[in-house]
Amino acid sequence: MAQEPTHIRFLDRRVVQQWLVIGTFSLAPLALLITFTYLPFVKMIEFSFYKMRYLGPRVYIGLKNYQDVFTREDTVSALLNSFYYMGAGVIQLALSLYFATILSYKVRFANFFKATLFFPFLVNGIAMGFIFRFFYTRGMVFDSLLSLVGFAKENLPFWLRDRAINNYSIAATSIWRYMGQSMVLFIGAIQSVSPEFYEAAEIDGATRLQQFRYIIFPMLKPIITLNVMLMVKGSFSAFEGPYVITNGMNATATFVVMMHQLAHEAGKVGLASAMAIVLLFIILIGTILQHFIYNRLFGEKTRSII
Amino acid sequence: MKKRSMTLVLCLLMIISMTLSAGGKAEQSGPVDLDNLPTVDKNVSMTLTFLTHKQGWDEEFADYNRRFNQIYPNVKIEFEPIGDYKDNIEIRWSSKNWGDLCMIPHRFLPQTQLPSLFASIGKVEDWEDTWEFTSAFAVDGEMYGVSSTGTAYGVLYNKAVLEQAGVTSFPKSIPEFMDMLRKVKTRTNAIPLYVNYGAGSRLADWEWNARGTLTADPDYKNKLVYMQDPFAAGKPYNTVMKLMYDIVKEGLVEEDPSTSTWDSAKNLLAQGKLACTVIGSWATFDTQSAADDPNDIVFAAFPWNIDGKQYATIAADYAYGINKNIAPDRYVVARDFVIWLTEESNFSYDSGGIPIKKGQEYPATLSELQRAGVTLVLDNPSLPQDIGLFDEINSESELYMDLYPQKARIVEAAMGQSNESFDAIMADWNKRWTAAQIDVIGADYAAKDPYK
Repeated sequence: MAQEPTHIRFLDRRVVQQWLVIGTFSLAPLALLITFTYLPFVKMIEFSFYKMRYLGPRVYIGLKNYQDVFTREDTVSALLNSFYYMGAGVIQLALSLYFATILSYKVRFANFFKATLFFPFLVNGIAMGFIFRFFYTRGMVFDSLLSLVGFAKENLPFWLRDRAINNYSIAATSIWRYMGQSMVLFIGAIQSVSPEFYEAAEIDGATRLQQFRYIIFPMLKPIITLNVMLMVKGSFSAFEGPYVITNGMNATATFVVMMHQLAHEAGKVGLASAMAIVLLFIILIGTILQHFIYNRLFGEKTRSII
Repeated sequence: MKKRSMTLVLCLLMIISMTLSAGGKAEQSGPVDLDNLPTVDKNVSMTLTFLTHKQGWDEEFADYNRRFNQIYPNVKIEFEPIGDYKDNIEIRWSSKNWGDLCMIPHRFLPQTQLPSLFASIGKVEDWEDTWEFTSAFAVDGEMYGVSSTGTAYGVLYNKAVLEQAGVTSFPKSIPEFMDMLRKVKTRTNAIPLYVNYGAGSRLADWEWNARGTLTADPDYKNKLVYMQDPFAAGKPYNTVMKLMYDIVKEGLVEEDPSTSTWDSAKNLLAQGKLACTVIGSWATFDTQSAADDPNDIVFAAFPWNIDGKQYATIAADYAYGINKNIAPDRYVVARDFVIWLTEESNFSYDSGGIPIKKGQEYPATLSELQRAGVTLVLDNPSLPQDIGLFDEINSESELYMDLYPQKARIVEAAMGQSNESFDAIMADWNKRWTAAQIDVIGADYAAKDPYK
């Protein structure tokens, strides 16, 4: 048999074959990822240094957009609105931990309750916005419920009209929506704990509270980290609730609602891009900081999920 | 050996198929040459595709086809209704062969972009005497779209409620209008006016009245570009916004504006639980259908008169456009169809809007306006050198002209939700507008005013 040419021999090698196959098969997903995620992202960074609209000429203005993000009254107050959602997030985590713990023990109709509590997470965010718009409308669902338990209708506030409370009203909807999601994550983690631990604890005479304190809680640390991170990210990028319920009017605009308004209604694409970059950094810093504090608080290095 | 060649073939195939699919299809015929149009035989057989925003119009479309067949017996117009039209049509336009005809939303594309998508249907000067709105979609005197109908701005009211309050004719000035609202509040159980703050875009409807209705000047919008302090007390915008502020401040509106929607306003108006709302005439048809007695629902001009004469700002609605990339013979038939739609089809009458062919009968929704002798005013297109300036100043100033956010600010102040006074808001508008004028045109913007 004649000697084959060198390039064929090269292609015949196992390693080369392997890489050839890996390379060709990842070509399509990589191309998609780069075209639709990384390229637009790089473009967005570029846009953030320009004064521009979608059409028309662009003017390079350096860091002016970033300066504006931190000095404009509306963007700063929109950023501060995130804290309403963070507060709601803390309540949401506490509640979901509570329900997860209860539902992990033998409870009648446990699956029914799990499904009921998880259901809101399956509702589309836009539909949820419309539901709560009616819920909070004067004299509608919420007012009727409250008057059933004895509140006088005249004394009830306007849940969305009153600036003192409208942000609480909207942030509360996110508790309803996301509690089920974090609860399911918690239940999963609790169920992965070997039942022998509980049996041993019960034989030793530990109460339910002690079981929670010394078995469940330590086992949940990594999943709590994950949930807190999701919550912080969610609070800064809250959009659907305020966008659908109030359209961001009456001082309820969150950072992303503001971004949308500036980009698509005022046509300030550069400024909105800068806001997006700032948001990315805030979430990054928040995640790192939270990780750091968490390790400090709980001493030993916990196995991190992320 | 076998395995290796398989791998190679596979890799090659993948690469080839990817490059092929990225390459795209062969080009259709180029832009239509309007000066050398072929003569097309009336018996020609072809199917034209028409992208439209009108849904549930199968009956009307079948009727149009049947009647158009009396001229071109073998031509079939295939209407393709598209949901969420404004969101989806731009995607369709990005390919050259999106179809033969389509509806172009008004103020959707920058005027200058029209010629890159559509073929001219004719010269403005040839048609302006017979059709309305010929300049709404025109660039350099060529019409790239023909408005299908028009919307007037004003007030939609319930006649029965007003009679109950002791008001026999709809007011023609602001003090009379305020007086009417107060009477409705004290003498009836109805809500005097729906400001529809929760619906956002309904607030923007007020602004239209500040132009043609208050000034009778079709160039008012264009003049704003160069005007000094256009929001000062006594100027049209200030007057209209002040009226809105005062009405909310006096509590002559719905109890909880933050959750109001257009649907609730429509039903209350139809049921006689609401006296009026500021809106476009398109709303008349829907409200009348919901009312027990359609005659109670009347569309009137905004309460204003200039020496006893009333005006109403109008806006062009969606326009018919022809793809500039279709073959010349198709263009000829498509153009004939557009002319037929405009002059013969009753399209504007069917949609309850202003007819495009001058002298045609107004639909019942607008006949009151015609009977009252209200003159309709359409904003002129901007001068060639000014194209885009208004949009740029609007964007730079963030006053959201034609949109709601800054009007929401006024309602919030009137509801006592913010500590701003009305005058402070108007002063801020002036400040922002001036800064944007200087930024876009230059410090000598007033001196450059071509309308002086």
